[in-house]
Amino acid sequence: MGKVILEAKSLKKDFGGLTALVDLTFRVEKGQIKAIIGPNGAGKTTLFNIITGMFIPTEGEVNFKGKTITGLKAHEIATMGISRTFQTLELFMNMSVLENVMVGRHSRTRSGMLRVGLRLWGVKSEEEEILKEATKRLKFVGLDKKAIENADSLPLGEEKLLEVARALATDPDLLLLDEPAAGLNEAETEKAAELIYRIRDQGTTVVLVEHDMDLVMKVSDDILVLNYGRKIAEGSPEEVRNDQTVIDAYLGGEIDYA
Amino acid sequence: MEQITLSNQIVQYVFTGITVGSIYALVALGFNIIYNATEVINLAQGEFVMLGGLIMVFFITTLNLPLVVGFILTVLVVTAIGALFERLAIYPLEGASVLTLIIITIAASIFIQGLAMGIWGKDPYDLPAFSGRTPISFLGAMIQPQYLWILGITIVVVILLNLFFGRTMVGKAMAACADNPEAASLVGINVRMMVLFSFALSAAIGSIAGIVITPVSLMEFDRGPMLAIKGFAAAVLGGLGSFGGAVFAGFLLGVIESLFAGLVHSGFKDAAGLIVLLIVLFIRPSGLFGSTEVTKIKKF
Amino acid sequence: MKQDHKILIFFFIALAAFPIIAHYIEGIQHYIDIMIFVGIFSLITIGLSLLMGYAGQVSLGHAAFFGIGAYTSAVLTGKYGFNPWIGFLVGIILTAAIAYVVGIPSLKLKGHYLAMATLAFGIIIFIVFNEWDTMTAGPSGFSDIPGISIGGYNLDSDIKYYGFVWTIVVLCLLFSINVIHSRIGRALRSIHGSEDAANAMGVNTSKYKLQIFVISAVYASIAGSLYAHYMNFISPSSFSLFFSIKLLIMVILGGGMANIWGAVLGTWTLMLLGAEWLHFLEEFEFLVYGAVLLLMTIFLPRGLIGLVEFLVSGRNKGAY
Repeated sequence: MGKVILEAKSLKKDFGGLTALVDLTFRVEKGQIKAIIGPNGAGKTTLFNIITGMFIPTEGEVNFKGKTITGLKAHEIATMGISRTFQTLELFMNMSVLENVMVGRHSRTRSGMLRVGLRLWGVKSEEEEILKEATKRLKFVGLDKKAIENADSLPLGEEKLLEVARALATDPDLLLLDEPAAGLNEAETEKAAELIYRIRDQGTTVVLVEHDMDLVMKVSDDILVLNYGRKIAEGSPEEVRNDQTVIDAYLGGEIDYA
Repeated sequence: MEQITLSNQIVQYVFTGITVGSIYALVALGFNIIYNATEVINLAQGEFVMLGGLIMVFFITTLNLPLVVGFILTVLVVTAIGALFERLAIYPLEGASVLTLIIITIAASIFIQGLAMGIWGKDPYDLPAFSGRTPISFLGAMIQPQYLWILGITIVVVILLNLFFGRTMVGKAMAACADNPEAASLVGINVRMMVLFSFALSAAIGSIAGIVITPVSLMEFDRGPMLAIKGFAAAVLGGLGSFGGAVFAGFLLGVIESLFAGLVHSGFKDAAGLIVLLIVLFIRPSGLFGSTEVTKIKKF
Repeated sequence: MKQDHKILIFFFIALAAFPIIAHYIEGIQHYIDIMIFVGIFSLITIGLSLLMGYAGQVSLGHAAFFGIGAYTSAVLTGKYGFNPWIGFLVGIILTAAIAYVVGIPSLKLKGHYLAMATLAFGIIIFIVFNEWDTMTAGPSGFSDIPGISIGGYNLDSDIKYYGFVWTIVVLCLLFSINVIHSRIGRALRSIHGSEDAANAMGVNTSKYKLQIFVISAVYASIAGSLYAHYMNFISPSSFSLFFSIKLLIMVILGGGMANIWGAVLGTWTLMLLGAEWLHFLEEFEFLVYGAVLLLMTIFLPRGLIGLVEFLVSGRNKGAY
């Protein structure tokens, strides 16, 4: 059993009358690729939002690298080493491809308003470093040729790659991917799997929410299954695939083994 | 001669406050109707009130029409203006950003004020009170009969709105759109039509407010913005989207403003309502009767 | 050196050349006066461009900060005889403090709520200017505000004041351009692009929104002090809601929502229009401004700068 990088304890989330998560406890090991699956509405994106600090849980806590992060602001959690992509794609459409990734370097750089405004010492070299690191990430996902294009000119597959590049620019220890394969065809999904392996290989733990079961079964070391906000199974792909409660939960749902 | 006691004064201020508050309530209702249908805040709402007053002046004073005829015609004309405004300025910008919509309604507000200034000039205009100006004594205060008209008509409007949204097909369709536009269009409701209706209805209500208040406080071309802001304050105080909240908050705001003006400092009267707005926005944007969770999730 | 820096150099040269040319051409001498106002108001619109265009926020109450700067300078120099520089400094500090205090709760709001909060704030300050007559001299205005002298050199002519104002504007432009082309500028734009994603990438959005709000308020305050010392007379009517809206129109007309030069262009265009064609059409101010705003928003959301960009690059970019 490896070192635990992320731990959720008894998470509960209520929205007025609607309960999205109930008594959710699970762990993510460093260096793993872990998938979170479940029918629509099972609370997966809510979980991501809680981990990254966008929502505060009604009860329970989240620990990252041994420290409690529940209640911290989203940007603080990002600085600590968790980054993410969004299911609904939250690119900075008003900026270029390269600039999007450069924003990812924000938490790793330091010049403040006054220093940049007055062009004080150190600003120029920091800017060069940001450019270099951002270009590196674009190369990593294969988008470097489109660096100066505007983000809104990309097709869907490349938009998703851009979000990954941006998230990687924050040098995360943990990367959360929210439905990376949604809307992708088979070839693109294959490349997504390759990318996920390469991300893990360079030392980042990956957690993904996904509906594409082929992708999930292929890349995951471990799978967490949610239904109606509760954990109904957790284990290796083999174990989960044969778990009766999982099969029942998906009966009539969109589980796609083809 | 009767001694004017503090309690008499307070009663006086409360009545004035309720009267003014009726107008705020009506403006707030106008905001809510449009907001419920489209999530747009119509910053030109006050212009409907202003037009109601000035167009009524035209019918009554210039054309010498009878009161009821003028009333109906004015409401029809302003309703048409509201519909026109929706078609020309809102409809083409479907899907635009919030900032764009804010700017468009501000632009419309300025433009309409410009038109009004061109037609009526900068002077305030008066209307004859509906049933004379002999003050009535009530609980130690002297009230204008027009106050009772304002209050009465406001109550009638509120009741009619309730019936409209609760009992008529069109009204229920509009309420459905407010709740869930996708579902509404799936069951065959023409959402775009409902948006148009909401603007028309808001304009109608605004114009009624303008008609009834002019005999009391006159009307000039640039009265709109302050009314809109205070009406908005009432709408937010009551909880954006809540009709009952808007009415209650409107009266409350009117009374607060009136008491403040009378007991503290009349020059800062307008500031009272604005400060209430800021307090609500800063502390509890969901207002008295709105849902906090919903407010957090809604993207404004 | 970025393209904006190059534009700034050309702009500076043009600004310096203008009064020299005007010296020899009788007909355009009075434009120096207009250009002083363009400079003063540009300071405000540059700040608004940073706040609204780059950071994606909205302020319908910036006339208030303009007024606070103006009245602080007026009162400290006119009433209490302080040095104008003290007036500038205290104006900046006071405005920054007020912007900070108002900004913290306001910037938690978005969209319409933020717009109305700034609107309400602007009107409240306007009412204070009118009612606190023991300090501000109320609606009839505050007169006999002294002029400025720099180390004994009196800025007592239009040309001298022109140089003074535009030097300050160019410095502010330089600062702003440096910020735009930096990690801070990208952070601001990321907030406009998607506040959630910005936070998720480690951008402290609350902090930056507040910082840029305060900076834009400070620019407006400096403009206010410059205004007070130029006009030697101020009254609350210059700081009304309508002026806040005019500022908005200048920004949008010019395209300051997408580009800081748009703010300057829009200010210049509106002032020129006002001077040339509208002074006898003052009656139609509302009508024209309303129409301009409507048409620009529907047909040309990127403003005049957008038009320039379109003509230069042939591409039609979308709205902000």
